[in-house]
Amino acid sequence: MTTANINFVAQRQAVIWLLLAQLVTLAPQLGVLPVWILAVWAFVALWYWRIVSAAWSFPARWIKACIALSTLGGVYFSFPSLFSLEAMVTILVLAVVLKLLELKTARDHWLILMLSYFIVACGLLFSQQIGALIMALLQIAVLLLAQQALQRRRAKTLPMLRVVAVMALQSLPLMLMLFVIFPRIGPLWTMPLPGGQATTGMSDSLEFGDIAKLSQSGALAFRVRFNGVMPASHDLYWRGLVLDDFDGRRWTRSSWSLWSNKMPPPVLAEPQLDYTVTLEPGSHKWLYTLPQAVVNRDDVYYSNQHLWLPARPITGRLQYTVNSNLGQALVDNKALSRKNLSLGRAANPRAEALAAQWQTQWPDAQDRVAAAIRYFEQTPFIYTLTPPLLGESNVDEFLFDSRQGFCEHFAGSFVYLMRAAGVPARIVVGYQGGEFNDRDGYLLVNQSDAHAWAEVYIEGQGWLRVDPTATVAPNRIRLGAEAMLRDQEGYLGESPLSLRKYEWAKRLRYFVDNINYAWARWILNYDSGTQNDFLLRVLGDINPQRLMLVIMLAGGIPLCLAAFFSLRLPKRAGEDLAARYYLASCAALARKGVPRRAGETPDDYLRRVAAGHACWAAWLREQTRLFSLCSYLPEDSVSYQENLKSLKRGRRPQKYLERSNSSMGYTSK
Amino acid sequence: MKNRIRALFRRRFNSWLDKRSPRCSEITLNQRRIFIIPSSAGLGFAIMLLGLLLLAINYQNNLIFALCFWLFSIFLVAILHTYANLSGLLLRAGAAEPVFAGELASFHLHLEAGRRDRHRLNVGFPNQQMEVCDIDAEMGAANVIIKYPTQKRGALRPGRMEVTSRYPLGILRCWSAPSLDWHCLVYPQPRCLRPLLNSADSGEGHIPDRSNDSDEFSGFNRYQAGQSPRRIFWKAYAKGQGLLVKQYEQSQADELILDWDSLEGLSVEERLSTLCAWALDCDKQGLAYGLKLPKLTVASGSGSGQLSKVLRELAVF
Repeated sequence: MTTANINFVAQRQAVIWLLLAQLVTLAPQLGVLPVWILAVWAFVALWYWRIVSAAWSFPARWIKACIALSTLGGVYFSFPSLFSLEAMVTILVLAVVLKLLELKTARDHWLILMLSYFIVACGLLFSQQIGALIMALLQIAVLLLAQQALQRRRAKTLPMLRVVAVMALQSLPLMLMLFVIFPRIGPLWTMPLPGGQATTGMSDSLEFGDIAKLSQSGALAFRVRFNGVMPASHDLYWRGLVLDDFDGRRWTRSSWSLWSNKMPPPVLAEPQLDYTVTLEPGSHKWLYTLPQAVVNRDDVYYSNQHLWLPARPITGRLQYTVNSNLGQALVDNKALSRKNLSLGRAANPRAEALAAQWQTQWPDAQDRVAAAIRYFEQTPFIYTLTPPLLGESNVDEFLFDSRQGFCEHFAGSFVYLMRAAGVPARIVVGYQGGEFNDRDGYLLVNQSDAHAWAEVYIEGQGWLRVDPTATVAPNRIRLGAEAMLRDQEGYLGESPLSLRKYEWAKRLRYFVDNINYAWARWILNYDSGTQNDFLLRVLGDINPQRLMLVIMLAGGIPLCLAAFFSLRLPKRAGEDLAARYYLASCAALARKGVPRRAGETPDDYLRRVAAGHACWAAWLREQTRLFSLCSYLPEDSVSYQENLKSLKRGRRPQKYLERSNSSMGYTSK
Repeated sequence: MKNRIRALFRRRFNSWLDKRSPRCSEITLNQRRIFIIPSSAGLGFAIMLLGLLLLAINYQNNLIFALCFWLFSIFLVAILHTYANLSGLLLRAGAAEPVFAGELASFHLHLEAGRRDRHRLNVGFPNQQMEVCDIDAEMGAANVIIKYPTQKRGALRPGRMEVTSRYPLGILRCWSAPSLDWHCLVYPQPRCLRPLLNSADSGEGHIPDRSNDSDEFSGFNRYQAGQSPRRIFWKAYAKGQGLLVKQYEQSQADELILDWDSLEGLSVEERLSTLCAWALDCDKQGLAYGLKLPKLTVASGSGSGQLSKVLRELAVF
């Protein structure tokens, strides 16, 4: 062990590569890992380097214990829970970093490298963009280099990189085949999910100002591809969540709706829309659909609020196909909850007075709704991203004082008025519209399309959608949020892509998004369904024989090619062609039974052949003459080339005899 | 038990190898002679791949699937590259100088790269110190000395050597066990169990009294290779008169014979060791000596030629 230790420490280059590999492994993940881990790495790496330089020694056991405990404490304070995925990955990274302080054998070195591969893979749990993959590939390349540095005397980067590149390319076809064919089975057991990273997105509660904040983000929410005609923009109400619990200020999902809320899925009448939605990565707790909808997926259920919810949150990029009938009514099959009439503890006397007036004036609920819409039409409201802050009685202040608001102000106030007037009502949040990418023909729904609207319950007709924002700012619905709000300060202000007003920038954005969409559609969402379709299309039929054939062809041929290219010897440098052809001539004569003896000079050989086997003598004489000519002529001269050519042509004595016989035949005629 | 099974396995494997690649003085490694198995690091790599696969399945993460498959494919392709590092390598048995029993015998090994760079070749005998060597394609060849411990006198055939390599990734161990036609003469271990003077008393030989040089100085002679350097007359050499040796008068009766029979009461090996020690001693003193064994007699002489002749007879006795 001690000798191994000495040998091992002597390999400074391997150590340098190991430290580099560690840095490369953890640096791109600093978005997930706490930043102080970099400092821990720098400290430990410096210590280890001093050990390798024989300046310091390995730390005592109590020092190691102190470092381990303090870093674990750091993890405890950096994350809300030690059992979150982020915390676990951090602990793994820490283990790999701290292992340096007891890196004594080659085995430890290997352990660090292998765990580093695992950490790189864990990074892909948090981000699956193309960039993340490229980063992971670079990390893996450095790890492979570090691995190779152990096996070389001099770790020169370029030759090592060449080897890694060759191996990576040779293994590419095999990897693709495995990726396509390997069966995609469901999760074997549940794992902790990546926590909500600070990405923007719809939350399950709403307060005035929330959506205005959300729509300042340029991030993508989801993409939709329609099979067939896309409905008009003003019909694209992507229903996400129903918020029916109101505490006077904040709208949330009622707690009773979170359990025992299943309902049999609706039966859709014709005509139906058929489309595919791809949600951006995240932890998805609800799906966006156009009502009324049926989602074709096993792991989601239909709730009694006419929503599609996954049985448990789905992480990553989520893709699902939907059938919708936009005209079908949302009818409840249960008695309506009193929640939909509750005003919470709010005190908005002016709004309630107005509602009471409608209630006495119109006995019919439908007329009260119409009156409210008329009220929104006739009052001079301003649709703005930056409404003033409102006080305790925010509905009153908005309706009668400031009259400036974003969609959640309109929807919230409308629902409040309706409930006060005795009409069951609730807020629906989701997205409205989207921007059509005409390069590839799909709809991009951005976070800036986030929207809130109202639903009122009319006896006999079910839940009807009412969008007060549409009456105040019809352009928001007709042209989309972007056209409407482009000039407003704050809209997309947070996005680095505030070049949106330029046409070329838009083209470029669409192009990039096309790539991202194809990426999501073909790579990230390649699941058992897609796999089945793809294999069916390629193979015609999926059976074991065909799969075996594909594995043998797609796996065997690339491996054979790889074998050919890696086992082939490089060309002999500066090979003497004349000698090669002469030796070929000798070998040909050897096959006729007259081998050249070891150490025999060409002249001796010729003399022996002439003495014993006269029939080959003329041929061999010619070959020997040409060979000695070629050996002494400069290689770039014309005569060298000519002689070489005749030497090459005359390699086979049989052919030479035939040729000379036929030419003799000519002369005899 | 475990060791016995292992030994049995090794014996079986070696006899299979003997049929497959018989002993020869020069060998080119090819697919018949190269074996390849995952190293312990390779097993670690495989476990890591399994972990990645589980991660990918449980998170339904296609990128981790891709990464896992890619590393797995690299593992497969690495088989070819590891193999290529040994394939086509030419090994030629070189000389081996005689040694005394108990010392390490040095065998010269000539390696030819054969138009390809060779990295980190570990060459040596099984369970012995391995030498690491790298060969550039441009250099083409390398000479390595590998060591083998000796225990008994006689002609030593060291058996199979081993060439292993883990280049490029260390996850696979590629090895070959060529049987090169080496032999090395092992002299008996010199152990002077009886003083040399005692043999003089036995009457068979006479040892000159070395306390005062009793040999009569009789003149100078031209130095001939193999004569003891102790007799060179250095003063003459310093004067530029060439190498001259001092010649001493030695009567026939003074002839020193190292006699087997004078060592009664010792075992065969002990007698040989003692004779060996005596021969070395005489050579050191620059004396002329002969050897008498039961069936063989070496005439008297001196110098390195005589020494090696005597030691050879002792080694092969």
